[in-house]
Amino acid sequence: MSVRPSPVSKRASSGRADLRIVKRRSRRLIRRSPSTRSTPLVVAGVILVVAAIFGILLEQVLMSQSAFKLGKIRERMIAAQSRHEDLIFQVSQLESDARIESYARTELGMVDADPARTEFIVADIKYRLGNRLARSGGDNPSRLRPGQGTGLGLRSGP
Amino acid sequence: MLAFLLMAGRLFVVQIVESPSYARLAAAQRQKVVEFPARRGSVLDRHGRPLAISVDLQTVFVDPTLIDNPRAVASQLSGILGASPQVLERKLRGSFPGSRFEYLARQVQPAVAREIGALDLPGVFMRAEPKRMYPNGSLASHVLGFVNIDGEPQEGIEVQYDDILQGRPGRMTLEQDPGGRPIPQADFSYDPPRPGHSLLLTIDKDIQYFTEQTLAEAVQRYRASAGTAIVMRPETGEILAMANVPDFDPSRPGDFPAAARRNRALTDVYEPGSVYKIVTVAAGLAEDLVKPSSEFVVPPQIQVADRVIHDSHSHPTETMTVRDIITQSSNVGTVKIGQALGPEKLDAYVRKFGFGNPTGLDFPGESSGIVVPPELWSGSSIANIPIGQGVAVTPLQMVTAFGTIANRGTWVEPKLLYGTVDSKGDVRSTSPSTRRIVPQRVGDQMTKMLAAVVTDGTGTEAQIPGYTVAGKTGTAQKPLPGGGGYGNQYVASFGGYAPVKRPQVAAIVVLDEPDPHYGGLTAAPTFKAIVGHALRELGVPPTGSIEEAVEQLDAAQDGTQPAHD
Repeated sequence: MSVRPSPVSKRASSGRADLRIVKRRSRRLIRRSPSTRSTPLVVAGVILVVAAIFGILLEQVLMSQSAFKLGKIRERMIAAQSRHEDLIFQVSQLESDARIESYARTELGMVDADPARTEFIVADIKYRLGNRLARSGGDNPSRLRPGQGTGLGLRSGP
Repeated sequence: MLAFLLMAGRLFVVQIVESPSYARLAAAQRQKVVEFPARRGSVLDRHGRPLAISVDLQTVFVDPTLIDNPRAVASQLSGILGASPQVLERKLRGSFPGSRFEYLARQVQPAVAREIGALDLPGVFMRAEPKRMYPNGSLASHVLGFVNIDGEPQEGIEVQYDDILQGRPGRMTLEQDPGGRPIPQADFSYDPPRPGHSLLLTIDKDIQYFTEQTLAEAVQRYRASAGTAIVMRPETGEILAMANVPDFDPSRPGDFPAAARRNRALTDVYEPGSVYKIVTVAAGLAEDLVKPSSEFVVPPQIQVADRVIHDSHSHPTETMTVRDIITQSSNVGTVKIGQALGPEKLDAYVRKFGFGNPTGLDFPGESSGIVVPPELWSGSSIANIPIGQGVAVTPLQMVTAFGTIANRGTWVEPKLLYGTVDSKGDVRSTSPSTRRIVPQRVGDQMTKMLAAVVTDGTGTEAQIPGYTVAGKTGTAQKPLPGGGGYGNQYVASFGGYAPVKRPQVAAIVVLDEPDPHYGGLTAAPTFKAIVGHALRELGVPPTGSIEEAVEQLDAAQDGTQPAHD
């Protein structure tokens, strides 16, 4: 920090020097060259511009990367959906009655039931049991062979 | 000054007047619209099992200008695609000079696509295309219909409900640079595709399969030229199975003749013969003209106008009750009931039962059948129509009539579509319309007589062990082409329902030109196998004796007990 001396009057120079302490009022008293004064502003401006450009470039890069990632994710999603549908189709094929029947007959030895040897269990046992007991006295109708006890000759064969 | 004015004027025109059109042109240059096809909805059976689904398959195409050595590429691809190298080479060279697009193979299997992708051939590209797949082969093919290679529906449910199935394609609008690369921060809009709704049919896959197998065996065993079978739930009108022979594979419909692709159950009409007698007798009972015990003197034949109607089996003149007329399927007796009704009343009941109009099933190509109005009847029509000649019906109309009797006189609209399923899995269904045709007592009287047909009459071959069955046989002579009377070819049929008390299944089997030609010997045993399986599949417990069922129907008529508890 420096203090410039106040100008010495002619009157003072002839006798005792009229010295005073001058109180600094402002920086305006200090003179600088114009180029030196604008340097910080220019530097700051340059920094700001560079930062803005860098920011825009960064944003571009990030957006491009995001768009690329989004595209990849969408592709994977579509592929996964296709795979899902393909698997549903394969499951449906495996559950096809024709395939199951063919496998059961050829690999597992499945045969058709013999109708003559099939028993049918009548469901509403209580109701029928009551009726039968009242009618014929004790014949348990809960397990009827085809045609048995109907009196109408329900036939079991083809 | 003049030049300045001209320039200013031109500037005004460009900037102000023509600005919107230039803006559009500029947008068109940099904007790109990408369409995403909507996923077609699936067709499911009543338990949600897929009958038709869409799967993305790869289509292989080529830019011939990018192929350096077509012969080498063709030899590489021929083994994978299973096509001849010569054919592929022709495509790789292009169908015309400068061609930049040729299909090599459309909708190839994923494994094939992977192999081609691994070759990394320049100029050979792939893109996904949805393909309609039918995982059960020919199962329910006549109901489902099919789509062509471009996914456009051609027949069946696929056509009828296309607006529900197809959905709405999505669109992505983006801006691109001259190299075709998307500009990230530019305007962007994405309207995602809306997938089509799936259809939930009333068809039961297992019952459908068994019905088709049994019908095919019957057609083969009886050397019939074709056959149809329909299984439905009479209470709701839901069709559980609809089978036709011959059938086709909807994945390759072009390999089958058009006749095999026809859904005969709905589109073909036939003279029903004796099964139609249920309409005549029900009408007589409803009009109180006859009772089941009413007696008729029935000669072996009767002349009406220029026609002589015979019974199928010779017998002396005898007294028959209405019950006997039905159980023995007497043509002469039924004609007498028809005469008692008269043309107007008979015609009214025929139409009330739904003959002469589509059933409302909402299926493409459903026939109305042929019902001639009384004013156009000939003198012998009153003898023909009561026994099912001179009218033409579809098997669906006939099974719906049996369902009406099973429902104690209430006609229920048949339905194939249970509901639609949206992308969230919510099901929306509709209820069928119903209407009363004959009083409940007539339904019960008819059921008892039809049960007697199966226990003591012409339909004994339809007896199902463990269950009570009601039904009617039909053996109809086929009319000669051109309307010149009847020939020696027959349509055999059997329609009915089970169990007698609270029927759960109604069905009809129609065999075209079987040998033997009697419905009781061919269609009835087929009915027995199909309905027996359906009852077990639906978990209907065996019902025991017919006597008890008849007792309960009697009690219901006396008002002491509901027939259908």
